[in-house]
Amino acid sequence: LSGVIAVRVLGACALIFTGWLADAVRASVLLQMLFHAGLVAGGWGIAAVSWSRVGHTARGLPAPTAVVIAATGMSPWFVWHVPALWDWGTASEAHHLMVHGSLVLSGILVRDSVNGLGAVGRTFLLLGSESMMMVMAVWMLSGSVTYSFRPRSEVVSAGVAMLAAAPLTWLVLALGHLRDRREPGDHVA
Amino acid sequence: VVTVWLLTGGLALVALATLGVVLRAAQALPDVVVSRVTFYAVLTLHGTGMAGVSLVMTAAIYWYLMRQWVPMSTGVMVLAYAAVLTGLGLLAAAAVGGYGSGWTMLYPLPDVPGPGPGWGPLAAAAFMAGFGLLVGAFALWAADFLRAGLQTFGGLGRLLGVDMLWGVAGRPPIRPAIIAGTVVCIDGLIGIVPGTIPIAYMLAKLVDPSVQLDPLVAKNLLFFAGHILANAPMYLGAGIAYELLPQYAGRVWPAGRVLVVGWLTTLGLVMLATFHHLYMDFAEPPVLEILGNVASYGAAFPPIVVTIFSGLSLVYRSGLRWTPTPTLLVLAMASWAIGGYSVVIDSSPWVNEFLHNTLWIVGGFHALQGLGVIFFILAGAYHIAPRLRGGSGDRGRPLRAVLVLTGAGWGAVVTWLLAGAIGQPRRYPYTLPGGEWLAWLGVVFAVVAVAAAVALVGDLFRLMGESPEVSARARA
Repeated sequence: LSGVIAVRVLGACALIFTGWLADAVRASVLLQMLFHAGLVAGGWGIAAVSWSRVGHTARGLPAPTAVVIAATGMSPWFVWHVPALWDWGTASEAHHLMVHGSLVLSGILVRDSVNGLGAVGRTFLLLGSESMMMVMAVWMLSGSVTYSFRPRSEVVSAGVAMLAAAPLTWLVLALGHLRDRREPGDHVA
Repeated sequence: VVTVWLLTGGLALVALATLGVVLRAAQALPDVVVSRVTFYAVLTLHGTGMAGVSLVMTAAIYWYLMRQWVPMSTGVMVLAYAAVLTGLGLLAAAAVGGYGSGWTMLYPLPDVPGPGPGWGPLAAAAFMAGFGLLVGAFALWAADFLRAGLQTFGGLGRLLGVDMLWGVAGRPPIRPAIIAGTVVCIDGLIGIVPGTIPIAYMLAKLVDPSVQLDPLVAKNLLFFAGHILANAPMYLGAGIAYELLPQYAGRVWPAGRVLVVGWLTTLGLVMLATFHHLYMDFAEPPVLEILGNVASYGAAFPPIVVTIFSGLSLVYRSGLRWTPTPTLLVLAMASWAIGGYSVVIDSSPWVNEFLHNTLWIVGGFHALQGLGVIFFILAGAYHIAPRLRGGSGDRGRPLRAVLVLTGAGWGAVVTWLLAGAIGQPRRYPYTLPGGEWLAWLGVVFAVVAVAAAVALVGDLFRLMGESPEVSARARA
């Protein structure tokens, strides 16, 4: 377990530090969103790598616990879009490091909990999060959300990008993650 | 369970179609048939009711046809039925209360109707709750379909047929209707949450008028949900065709990579095509017009290639006996192609500028919903009705009524398309000078179509009560 924790702490610190240095992405909301999504993916990767480093995979948690952990893990995806929290998160470098930390932790928590959810739970978690993302995308592309120090047009573009990303997510999932790797003969229709 | 669904659905569809005749007659004879306030109340009930009942009826038929492959819950269907019945009651109550915003219920119209229509907050609340219950019934079905599918097949990848893309050897392909149903459930469930938010806001505003919502956000969220849910029954209709047409043609509907790619494309593009409804809103970002246009054209290809051409190939020289079920299925696919074409034309922004607020849209929508979705429902009902009492197949008696319904239905659609082409506005309670003859012609076609629909529904009810022996003798 100490190996798992060590890989996670070191990986998270590296990701957060890289994020702190990445001044280029401050140029636009869209780039920031992409970079932040990368932090979540990085957290996911850290979780996967840390388990494989110690030679086994994360065991499935009991479903109710997994749901709570997954929901907690996903909450940073939504809360930082709230304008007041955005303002707080961008008020200083220290605050923004916390934002990055929460996103890396988010990836780790979601990766750790999905095994306990089962196919039905994972699907509904995905559908629920995508619905929420669509709501936020429509809110942003309609120009109804404004963030400090950012022109409206940038927020609108970010909303459009989120909208287009949602169907793309399904395509990526379908072509990659949803590929059924079980033996032929299972679940015949 | 399915007997009750078919009985209720048949009665509801005939009643709501009759209201449609009243609307067309009101446009031909303004202020004589109904007052202008009543016109909008009837329009709202007709449109919302038809769309909602079509949605849940295709789901109910799907439930019956697919449950041997996807063991869905009977309890959930009973619950959904209760929600539909309550929802329809609330919609009717709202209409009696004069509620007339249309299904679009653009914010803040439900809460602030103005002195002309002047409906009360109770009527608005009844409408939104009724609408919500109809959509909620569909959501229950969709969630249950996914649950049952995932528990049976193990994962979304298998339900979407993704393993076929990678050529997994030794495993039979999944049924095409399961892929179609999964796509509809995913899109439908993703769309419902955005649609619920503005309705919740508007319900809250009825209680506390200080509640505010950005009108553009409200419209975009509602149309996002509305577009997906209006398309859902058509895609479920395709699934009904996948399941039934091979049984009558004696051939297998091929489920392969093209079909999977087509449905994955549909999964994404249906969401993005929403924006072809919003070209008129100058405040939308221009990139959405491009997205809406490209997605609308793109979304047209999978149904044409995967469903309609494949369906025609399946039927061609199959020796199929033209009983009501296959006849209705083929006619429904024809309406999908022709009606869909009229709608895709309108999804080009420069054409949309001229056509979108005219009766052209009403024509296209009735071709898709009235002659497409309703025909899929009737096809399913004709397949199911004899089996409810142990019979085994449909029979050819009502073909005359099917042909009359098709002819009169298309006649009515053409009057709308022509009226739209000459600039007759959409949702007006009267006809502008020059288009009166089309309105009258529309009334005649609509009366004949509803009479044929009554005959078909009556025949279905009779079939549902017929013993298998009588049914077998009649078929012979």
